[in-house]
Amino acid sequence: MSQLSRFSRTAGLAVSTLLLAGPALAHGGAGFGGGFGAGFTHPVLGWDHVAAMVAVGLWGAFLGKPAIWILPVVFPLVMAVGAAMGIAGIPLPAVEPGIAMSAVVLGLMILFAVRAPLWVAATLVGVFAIFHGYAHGAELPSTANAFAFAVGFVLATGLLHLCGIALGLSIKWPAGRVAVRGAGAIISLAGLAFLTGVA
Amino acid sequence: MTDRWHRWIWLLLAVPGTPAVAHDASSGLRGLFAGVGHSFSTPSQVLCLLALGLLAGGLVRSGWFPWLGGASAAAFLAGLAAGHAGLPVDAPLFAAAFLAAALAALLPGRLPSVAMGLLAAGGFLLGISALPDSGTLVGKAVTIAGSVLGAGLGLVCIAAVADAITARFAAPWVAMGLRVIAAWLGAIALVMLALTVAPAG
Repeated sequence: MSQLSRFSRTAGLAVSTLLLAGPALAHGGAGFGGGFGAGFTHPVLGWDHVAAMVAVGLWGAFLGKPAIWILPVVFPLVMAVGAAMGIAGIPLPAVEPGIAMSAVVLGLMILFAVRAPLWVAATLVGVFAIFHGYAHGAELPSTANAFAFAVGFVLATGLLHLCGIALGLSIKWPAGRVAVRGAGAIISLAGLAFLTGVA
Repeated sequence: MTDRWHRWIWLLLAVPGTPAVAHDASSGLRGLFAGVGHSFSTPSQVLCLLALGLLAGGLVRSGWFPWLGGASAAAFLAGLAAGHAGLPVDAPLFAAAFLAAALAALLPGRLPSVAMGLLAAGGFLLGISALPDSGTLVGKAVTIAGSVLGAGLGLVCIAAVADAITARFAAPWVAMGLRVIAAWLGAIALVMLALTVAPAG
């Protein structure tokens, strides 16, 4: 009884929250809120970014400690270097293919449960972070509050990593391990679709 | 003893802040509060204080902590003495924030001499940025006193909270969470540095 009523209470709350929520009208908005919204949605609404960010967390979970936490520390710092390059207008070739490749490669790492040494994992993730950061920096809307945009896209990136880590923690169960490796396969295929222009 | 110290920090944090409307100097309590808020009035100052606080927080239990505090306080006063109002210190503040946050994220509690250098550099820049634009001599003095109080309390509170969190919660993910937050701060600071120095257009 209690479990059912707790479920119905939670479901009711979720549905009413959804009904009460207003539409997200954030892209390119002015002011702090608009800038934050534009920055936050930039990684979240780009499926290529989402796939790669979640993959970083999932692979970290497969690699175990300390990689599970080191990768989300390395990624934003190196990503910011890429963003700085994008803002400064320093040319970087093949940004979009690089982002797509990050999903392909990281997805494969998860699919085959590759246990790379920490420095290899950090270098690989760092190299891909440059491409993701460059895209964020180069596409910064001129109308947005720059500080709010930076806070938004860094926070969204970090939260996507945490989502990946949270999902990845299920590998302690056999079914979870299969599910995570399956997610790696899907991420890799999605990356391939981005790379070939299918998606 | 440590528990009592932490209780005081939580109490200080609970004191409601005043809005940052600080660039003019005014005398009396209003000027003092304006000075306190001034240290948190721009993104570069906030990021720098947060990054320096997290960096110092990793060294609270080392013998270096009094030296770190002393160096940053002395440098803050030197910045007040050396600077003049309106100096463009945003870019150096973002750079200091990035370096401090990166060190706090990648090597927390290590390289204390480098941390001391960063705290001194950050303190110096915060000192320069704390100078009021205009006002009477007494008003400026009161506002500067507030700035010294605000920056000092801000730094100590952030460091103490970081230390209190890691001391109270032994789970390894708590300390790693602070490192992740430091990495996020560093990333934001570097992006802001690029935006500040990049040519317009």
